[in-house]
Amino acid sequence: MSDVRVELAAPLTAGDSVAAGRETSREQFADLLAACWDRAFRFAYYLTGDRSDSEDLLQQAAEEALRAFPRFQPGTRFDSWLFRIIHNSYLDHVRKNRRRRVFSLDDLPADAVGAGADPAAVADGLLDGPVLRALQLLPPPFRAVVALVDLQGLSYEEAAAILRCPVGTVRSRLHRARLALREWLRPYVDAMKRGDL
Amino acid sequence: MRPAWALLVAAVAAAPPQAAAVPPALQRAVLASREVAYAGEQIVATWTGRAVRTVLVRVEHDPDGWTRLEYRPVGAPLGWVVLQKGREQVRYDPARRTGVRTAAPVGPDDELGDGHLTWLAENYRAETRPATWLGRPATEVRLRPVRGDRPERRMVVDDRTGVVLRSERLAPGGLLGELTAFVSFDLRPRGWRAGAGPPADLRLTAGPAVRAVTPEDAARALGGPVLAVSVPDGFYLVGTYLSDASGPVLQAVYSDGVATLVVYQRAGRIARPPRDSRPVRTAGGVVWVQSLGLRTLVHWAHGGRLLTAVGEISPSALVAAAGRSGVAAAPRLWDHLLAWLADLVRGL
Amino acid sequence: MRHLSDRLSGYLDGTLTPEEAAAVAAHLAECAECRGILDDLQAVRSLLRAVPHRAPPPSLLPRTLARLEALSSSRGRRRPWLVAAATAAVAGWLLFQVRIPPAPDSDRSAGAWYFHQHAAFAAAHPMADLTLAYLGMLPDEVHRPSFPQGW
Repeated sequence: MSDVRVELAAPLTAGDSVAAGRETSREQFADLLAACWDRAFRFAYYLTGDRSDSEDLLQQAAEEALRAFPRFQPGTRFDSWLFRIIHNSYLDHVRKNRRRRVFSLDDLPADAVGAGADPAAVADGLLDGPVLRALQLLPPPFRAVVALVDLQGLSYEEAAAILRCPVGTVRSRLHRARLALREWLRPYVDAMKRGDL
Repeated sequence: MRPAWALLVAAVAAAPPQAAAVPPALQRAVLASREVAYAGEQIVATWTGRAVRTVLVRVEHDPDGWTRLEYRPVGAPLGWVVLQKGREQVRYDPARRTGVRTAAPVGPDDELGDGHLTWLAENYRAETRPATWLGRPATEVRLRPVRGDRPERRMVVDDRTGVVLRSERLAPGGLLGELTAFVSFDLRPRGWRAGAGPPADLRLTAGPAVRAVTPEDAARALGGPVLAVSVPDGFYLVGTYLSDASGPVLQAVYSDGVATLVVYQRAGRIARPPRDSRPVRTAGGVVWVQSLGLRTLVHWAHGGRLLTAVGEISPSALVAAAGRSGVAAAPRLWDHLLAWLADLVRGL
Repeated sequence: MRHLSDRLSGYLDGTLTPEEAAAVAAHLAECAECRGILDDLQAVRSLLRAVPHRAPPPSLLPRTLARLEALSSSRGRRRPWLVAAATAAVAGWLLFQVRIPPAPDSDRSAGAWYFHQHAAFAAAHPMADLTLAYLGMLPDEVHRPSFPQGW
């Protein structure tokens, strides 16, 4: 699994993009997209923290992916490739939309999540609320690492390939993000340690 | 358990000629536990998919029949002691003073466990290089599996004594799965714990009995012939045992020289997948897979037997072996009904 | 030795080299502060992993594909993958009608028993790391308190 790398830069040969092949390649694209659709949606959801934003993001990313599909190299990981496009689309969106407040890791909004925390509610499957709110407080690069590694279960290497950064950066971002989440989610963290969750 | 090792000796006689040399450091490591007395503290870390477990262990070893391991999990107010004296093993909770008494696991009677070393040479490529640990000159031995479906083992072997000072196992992807390392280590004179025994005030219960059996004994206990089960390449039968866990269970133990694989079979038609296992489809039917760190459990039904295999091997390799052995299709509603009626009748 | 910073996360995730992990383990043996942080980080990770998976609205994929179709081509064509998927779904449904997979064993210790037995046999192996092998034979309660999610 970990030895598969996605090569975006390698275009298919000219022969592959003749008109006759285009129809098959679109069907292929739909197949590949459907196979990782749920996970792609969750990634978009964790990045934006909002259902309707994540739908928009995913649709936009799917369009870009279809446009870039002739450059997708068969045999490499489609999901990683799509995740990278989703992430890039999201960063574009954040850049265009500067009004949105982005917190720094050092500027801890102490009560942002903790106030009114009710760890007991979590057992009923309501954990997304507080965790996703806390996630939205992380600066985007940190949020992406948490979304990929902790929420989606990818390895550091896979996350690094998607985010186009060194593995060491993934580790240090993940660590700082977890430390910040620990403070923001303190009541839930303590409940988890007691075994109450 | 001697018959099992007689079987092993027979297997050694039949094994192919040694494919590669076993490094001397490894041979010394195997012998060290019979020759060297020591005390120290180890740190043990194991990674399961979701958690790392870190435990500090005080170790006392005397080759004249004494090994005491005191476990203190990091971050938990608990402790356990495993004490092996001669042929007996006691595991107890030092706070509650309760525990279990069983027979100690018995190793091979032949000096070096030669069968295992032959299989090791067949299944692993050994590399050595100089190392140091706790300031002691040592040799690092890396055992890389020839097949990519089982863990790699690395050991740092003390040059002076042959004691393994540090040991790791890495999952097939290269991730660290298990680690033990001495953080302090002192030699002791041989016989230093000769007079010691378990504390007198323990309340001990007898652990379940496990006895070595022949295929005929096993067939009698299971109420029918023992089913042949395919195992991943490179594993050799070490022994067969019978124990009781809600009915007789036959346990066939295999080794590839480093990893251990156990295949359990009991009578039954409808699989009883363990909790938290996940179903995996094979050509024949569904098998259930559960992972615990480097160990994989696969459970399935076939030929009137419920089969379970546990070993330090990748899920895909163990599922493939189950597939080769044969997997029954999921039972029809009708089969469920029959089983329910049978239970009802038995209850009356 | 100074504290461990992001090596703690690497240790938690099992991504360090054996040498690094051994050094971290040795530091943990002596440093209560880092043990506390490790405990917290583990709880944070368990918390994140416990977040339930939300599925996309069922209409989103068909809507997106339809939009892509409209964008990229005006030729209307049936989508064979859709037909194949529908066929597979119906076939799968029929399969489950006919055969019922058994329910998991109600006894939680049943699965643990197999692992315990394996540990006992592994301890007899001449190459065994006894400390580790016996750890697998200890009762679950030894492990559970600090690792509520681990098993």
